[in-house]
Amino acid sequence: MTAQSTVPIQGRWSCNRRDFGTVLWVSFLGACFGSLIIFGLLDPEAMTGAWTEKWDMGREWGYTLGFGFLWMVSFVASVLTIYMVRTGPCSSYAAGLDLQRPVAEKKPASQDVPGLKDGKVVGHDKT
Amino acid sequence: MTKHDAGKKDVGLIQSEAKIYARLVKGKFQNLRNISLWILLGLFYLLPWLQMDGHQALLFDLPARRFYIFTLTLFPQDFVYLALLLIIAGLSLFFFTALAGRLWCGFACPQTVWTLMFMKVERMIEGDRNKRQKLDKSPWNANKIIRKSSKQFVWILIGMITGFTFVGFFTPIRELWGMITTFSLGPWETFWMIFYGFATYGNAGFMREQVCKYMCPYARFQSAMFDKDTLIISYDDERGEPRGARRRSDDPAEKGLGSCIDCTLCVQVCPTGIDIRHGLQYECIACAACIDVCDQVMDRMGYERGLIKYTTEHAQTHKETHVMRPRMIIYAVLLTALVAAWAYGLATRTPMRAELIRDRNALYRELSDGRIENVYTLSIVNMDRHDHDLNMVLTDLEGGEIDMDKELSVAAESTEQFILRIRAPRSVGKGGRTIHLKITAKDKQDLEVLADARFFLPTSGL
Repeated sequence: MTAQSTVPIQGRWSCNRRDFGTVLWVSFLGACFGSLIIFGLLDPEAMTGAWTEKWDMGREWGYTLGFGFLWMVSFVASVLTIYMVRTGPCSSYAAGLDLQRPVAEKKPASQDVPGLKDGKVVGHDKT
Repeated sequence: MTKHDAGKKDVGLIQSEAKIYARLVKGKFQNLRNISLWILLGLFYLLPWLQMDGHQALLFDLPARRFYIFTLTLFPQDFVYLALLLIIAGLSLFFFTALAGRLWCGFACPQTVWTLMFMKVERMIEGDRNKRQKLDKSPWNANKIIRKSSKQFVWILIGMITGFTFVGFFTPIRELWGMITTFSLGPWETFWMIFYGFATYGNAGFMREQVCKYMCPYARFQSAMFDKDTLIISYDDERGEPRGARRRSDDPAEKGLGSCIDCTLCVQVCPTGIDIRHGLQYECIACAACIDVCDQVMDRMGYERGLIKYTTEHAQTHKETHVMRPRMIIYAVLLTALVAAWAYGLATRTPMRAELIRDRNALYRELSDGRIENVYTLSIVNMDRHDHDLNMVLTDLEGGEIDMDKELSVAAESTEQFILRIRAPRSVGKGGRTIHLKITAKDKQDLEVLADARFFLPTSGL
């Protein structure tokens, strides 16, 4: 299939950008919740000395690093999840419908959207 | 495609991210929202300044790991109360959503509350919908510069005050104010004040309904809690259609029209920019602005109110609405049980904890007088706001005796450790046994805790 250039619609995020934003935000929420539970049960001061002999980091840094770590872990998990979901078969696969799925014909956005040309609104009053 | 349809489709497809100019609306539900706004903002901005027992009444001291909640001081050991409180909050959200839809979104969510405040400021400085639209379209002149910069100034000021107050829940706010006036703020306080201030400014000033539409997980899954008896805001299709403009004196029946005069005011007042006449949409935060404005239009036209109203799916299809239904009863029973357990736990909570830990280096030691000695560390956490001198009684060990390294007393809100040498005659028995320590405050007899540990004696006689 020949790649046809599509004209992006102003103000809209691309799929990748939206995925990235969602992953960043949801893993942030997950890290917030995780930090609440972990640091409700564990005193970050207990970490000092265990693996930071020369650095008496104090609780603030303990909380910060713990949160950062949780954010990173949940970010990686979320990225992998969205990647696996996006690149894997969809719900119709089990029903065998993927075999009959017609190949989508890509059209420039200006053909799809009435009143839009080259990503800009044209006077639809006349239509 | 008709002209009308084309216009509708374009709005949905292209202008979904366009700036929304919500028109000012007054009415019953907006009054309720304003009351809710002032109460919640008042609580947020004023509570940190309240003092109790010589310190801040509400303070979440994370560096010291102490939560001061009015007369209560919570320690990390009280984590279960916090966990229960979170579960209760979550369950309440389920309960109220099933009962009355997105009540939380429309009236109590911080995103809504701060957005409402920022919009009030915007309206005061730039004027209502039409004036704001005109101002945005006009070229930059003195009037536009003054209005836009004044708005930004007030927004940033509110953001800064909000950031400061937020940090004031975690660092004593009076000290924080002192630090600001003497320019001696620490890096943590500075970072969080700027971060939270900026988040408020960005979320309430610019992102507004985008937060509800794209960022809020609750907005996405709340419909799963809905059923046909849940209160929703809905347009009465049957009564409203076919919609159309008419003169006040016209008889709609004669013209073949419904009650909707197609004034689009319901769209103009909507903070998320949707048209409620298209049916229930996930963007709707249930602020009821469309109900208020439509009621006013109906009054002016001399029609019955309630073309847009709080209703249920059952009511719309002329069926009976049930408030008491299985899911409501299950939520209510669970919620009552959890709240009762939480309140009972807090009311009967002993503000002291004791732990007796055996010295792991030696099982026991034989003294020259033939007695057997076990060594322990006694750790006492005093969560009370007063110092306490303590009494200690040893039970389950005949002839047992305690030797301690220091006076048994614990200062307010602190943890103290003591080395205990417990001695008993060999005749007490053989092998291990559990001993109990009863610790009582001298000045408060009902302040009593128990600690237990194993006491070891030789298994065979020498």
